[in-house]
Amino acid sequence: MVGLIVWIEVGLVRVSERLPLVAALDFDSRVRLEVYRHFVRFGLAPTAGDLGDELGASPSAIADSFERLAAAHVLVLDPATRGLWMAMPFSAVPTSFRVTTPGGEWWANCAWDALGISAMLQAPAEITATCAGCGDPPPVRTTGRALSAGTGVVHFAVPAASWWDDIGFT
Amino acid sequence: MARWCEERGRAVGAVVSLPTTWALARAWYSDRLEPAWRRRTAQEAQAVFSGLGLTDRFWRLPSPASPADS
Repeated sequence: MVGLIVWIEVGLVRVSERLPLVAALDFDSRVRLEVYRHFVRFGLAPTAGDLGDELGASPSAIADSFERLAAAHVLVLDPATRGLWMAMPFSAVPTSFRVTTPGGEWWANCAWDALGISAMLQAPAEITATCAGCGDPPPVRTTGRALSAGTGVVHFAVPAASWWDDIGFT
Repeated sequence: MARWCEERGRAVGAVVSLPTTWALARAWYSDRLEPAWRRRTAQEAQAVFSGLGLTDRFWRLPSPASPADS
């Protein structure tokens, strides 16, 4: 559990438009990239079916790719449904960390990932963190390239060597 | 932070400043949308941590040969 004691403010340019074109990537790399593009574009995780048209592949082929990418610790799947749970730093499910930009909103897996969404998109943003024990956390803002405001610390609970022992807790 | 952890029944991990966490986020995620992105090796990840002063035991990765990216 990476806990934050803050918020962030991020604004967004049209990130999806400056993503480079895919050239000759292997299938799993194309699936990975489309997962991220879908998150960026829609703020939600795609299903295997969502990516079928984009990739010219069947949902089952994409689901198989999800499994390989999960085994390689590139994505994290819901243990029960085998749908996407995490494409770090994005979360497919609501969390305590919400990143809001003029171009979209996303859930982050943890405080580090909340900052990571801002850094990855390289655009100003705002992040809200909720903490049952801390009350309303103070605001944290970034320009997308730098922190612009914020106080607090981030607690990393799990040592780096054990992050993947239970990635849901980490 | 120790009390915060105690109240939640958690061991105290690493407490990192916001600026350092931001720097870690930039180092870790700024290339994630690149088509040819690949996971860092443990050695590469260790170098990211070290470059930010995250050098104590908490940040030590097990093997220089295995990928360790988040």
